[in-house]
Amino acid sequence: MGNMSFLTLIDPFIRYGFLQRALLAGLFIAVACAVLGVFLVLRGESMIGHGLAHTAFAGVALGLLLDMFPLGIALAVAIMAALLISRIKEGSGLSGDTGIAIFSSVGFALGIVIASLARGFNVDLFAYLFGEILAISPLEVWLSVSLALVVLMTIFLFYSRLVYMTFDRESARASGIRVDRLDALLTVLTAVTVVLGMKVVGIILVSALVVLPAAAGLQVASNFKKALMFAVLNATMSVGLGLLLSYHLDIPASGAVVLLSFLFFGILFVLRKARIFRSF
Amino acid sequence: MVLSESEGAVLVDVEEVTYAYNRIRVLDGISLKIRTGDFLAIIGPNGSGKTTLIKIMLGLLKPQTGRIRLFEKTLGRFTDWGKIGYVPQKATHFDTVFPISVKEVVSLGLTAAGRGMSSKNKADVLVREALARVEMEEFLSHRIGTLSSGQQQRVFIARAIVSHPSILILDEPTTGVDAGMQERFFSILGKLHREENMTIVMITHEVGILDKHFNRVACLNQKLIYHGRHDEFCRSDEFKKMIADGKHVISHTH
Amino acid sequence: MKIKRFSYLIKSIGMVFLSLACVFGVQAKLRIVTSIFPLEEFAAAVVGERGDVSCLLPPGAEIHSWKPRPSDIVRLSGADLFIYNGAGLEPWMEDILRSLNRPRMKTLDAAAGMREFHAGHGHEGHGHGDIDPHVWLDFEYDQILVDRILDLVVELDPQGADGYRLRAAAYKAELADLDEFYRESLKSARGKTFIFGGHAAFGYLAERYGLRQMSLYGLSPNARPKPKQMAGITDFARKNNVKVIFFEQFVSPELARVIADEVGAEIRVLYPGANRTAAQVRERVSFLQLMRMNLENLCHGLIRE
Repeated sequence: MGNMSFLTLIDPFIRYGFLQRALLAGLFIAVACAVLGVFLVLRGESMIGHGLAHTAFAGVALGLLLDMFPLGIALAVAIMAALLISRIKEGSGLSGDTGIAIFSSVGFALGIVIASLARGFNVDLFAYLFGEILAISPLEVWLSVSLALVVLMTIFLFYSRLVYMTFDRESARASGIRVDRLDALLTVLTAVTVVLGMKVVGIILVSALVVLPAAAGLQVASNFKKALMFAVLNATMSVGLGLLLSYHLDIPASGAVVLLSFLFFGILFVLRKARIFRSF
Repeated sequence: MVLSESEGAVLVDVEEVTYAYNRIRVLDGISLKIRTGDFLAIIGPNGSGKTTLIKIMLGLLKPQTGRIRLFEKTLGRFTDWGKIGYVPQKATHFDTVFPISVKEVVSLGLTAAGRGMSSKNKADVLVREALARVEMEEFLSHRIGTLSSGQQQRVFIARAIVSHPSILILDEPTTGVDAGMQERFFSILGKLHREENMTIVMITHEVGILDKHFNRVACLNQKLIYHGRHDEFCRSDEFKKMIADGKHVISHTH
Repeated sequence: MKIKRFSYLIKSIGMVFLSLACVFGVQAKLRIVTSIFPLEEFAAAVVGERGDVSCLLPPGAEIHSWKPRPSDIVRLSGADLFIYNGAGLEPWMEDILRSLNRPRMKTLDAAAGMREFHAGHGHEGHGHGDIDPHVWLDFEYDQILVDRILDLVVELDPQGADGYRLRAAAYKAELADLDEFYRESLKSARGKTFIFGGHAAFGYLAERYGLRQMSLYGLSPNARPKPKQMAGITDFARKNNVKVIFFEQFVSPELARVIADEVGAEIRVLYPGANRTAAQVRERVSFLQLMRMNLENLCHGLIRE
């Protein structure tokens, strides 16, 4: 009987291509978000995902205005913003947070203005604001999966340098690591990931996809690899179960994913407070 | 134990370095050679530019004038960072919830640019060995945030020496470490100096410990006030004057 | 508050021009502003050259998520007659009318009367709650609307009454033709369901010609469709061997395409008609033409030899 009900539970994912695509793209994007998120949260840059997503909004609006692949334009705009943010951080004496705040609001304002210029696609903009994981086309699945893989490969390649820089920036520099270049790399990777995550949960919630799994991982991990593992576990479970819940309870997928992620975070938080995970 | 001035190859060569933060001069025409076998204490009052000097040596700050040579190469050309171990002043000021184990922290020392990725097994051996040298093997899988600051400090030394550097640079490593721990700490450094022939440079503000451990002293107060053998320095008038008045500027003896 | 002060300024400027026009003996044209395109077409059909009819909704905008800008309020402040749809389609309208504070400006609420019209035709009465605002998609009700516009226009400009009546009658005849054309063409499709990847705009139209509308969104396109709904529609399309999935102009065809790909159908557009694209404005595509194109696509989807 347990087997039967499990089958009924996952049956829609077998029957509908759009759910399979959503799950596939969602899982890959979630892993990229989670891995990147651990670095960003530890760097105290939890809000950069939020900021870049808002900047990407301008790209989405521009793409819709020009009737060109909005996700592609959003990607280009977000990467440019990412590089500018790291430039501002270096050059202006403003703290990293300020650059993010400036760019996120300017990006969003630009998006609103562009949207009002074209006027015809407010409904489509909504889809990007709140996510439309059900409308992932086969091309977008392919793109999401490969970009998520590129992000993960890059992180793997620069893994110890990124950890070094995140943990002890000065010593990392003193051992000849070009931290400024790594900063830029990390920001660009974030831009890519955030734009992908936008499709899953939307601009407004994408920072949750970056921050929550990472924060959950940090609750219990005794080393960096475990933190990454817990974050990835949280993210993939949230997306998988979130889609399932969304289907069976008839609630929006984006909300379900984020709330589940928060639930897992909450459980780990309580476990940590109760010191159950001391051995980890 | 004390080496004469001309002995040993020059590892760090500081030439006429001047540095100012927002037009406030911190270093003024500093020239200094650090040679193989030195166990050098850099002393001076607060704000005398000790940390700045070290950061310039490591390329973390760019001096307004002057130049640095590391292992006979100009700073821009130097790539063999594995030859230099560094324990920064604020090493122990990390976020204590940072999820990183002692093992992971030490292996970061193998990340230094110019060192190709060594095999996982070899890295493991190096990390264990480095921890043994600082008497911290049993903490291998502990999260670093759970250790005492003295233990953390030793882990950071392990990270700095894991690549078997020729020179180890430490910035006030004994701050906030109790006397017993300090003794152990110096015995570890002494062993590195004696047995591995490691050159050690250390900023310290505790003048009282000079004669026990160091063979050379550089006294800094914007200018290099004294650089030479520690025993001579302790007997000198300059030392007494410096103790009395940190701002008194004396021409250096180099 | 700001809007109010702004509108006073605009009104006074308007007055100056108006008095100037009187001095120089220019015959002021009847100025009619409408919120959406079908009402603009109806009004223009009635007044012809004797009036200036303009539509607030700019080309390409989607009415449910559009809000007027300052220039629109300026335009409204100079209008003799404002025709709006009502039934909640223009949520900004009440605030703006209040801030304009022009009690003498005539207004016409197009949806008011739909409930009675609907009940009179023996449809299940929506005794309470909101009514479907897409009233312009009932071509018989449209004829009533033309008459109501005619009454107001005659009241405002009695001298032009004869011309207005002639033109109104002609346009009503066209609407009646359209209605008849739909009825004839869709006769064989009675009872059939069309899947619409847009919002539920075609309720009146479907009911009138015996079709069933299955839409992804509700009455407004702003609520996101849920996965189960998508799955249900996909199942339905598969089971009934649906060959065409319709998408809505001004709403992304993405979701319609997802379903179409799932079941191997093609996608075709349906025009809700509340607005036109800039290109359609340039080509002077009329409301009646849009509706004929809809019919063609509906027939393509529902009637196959």
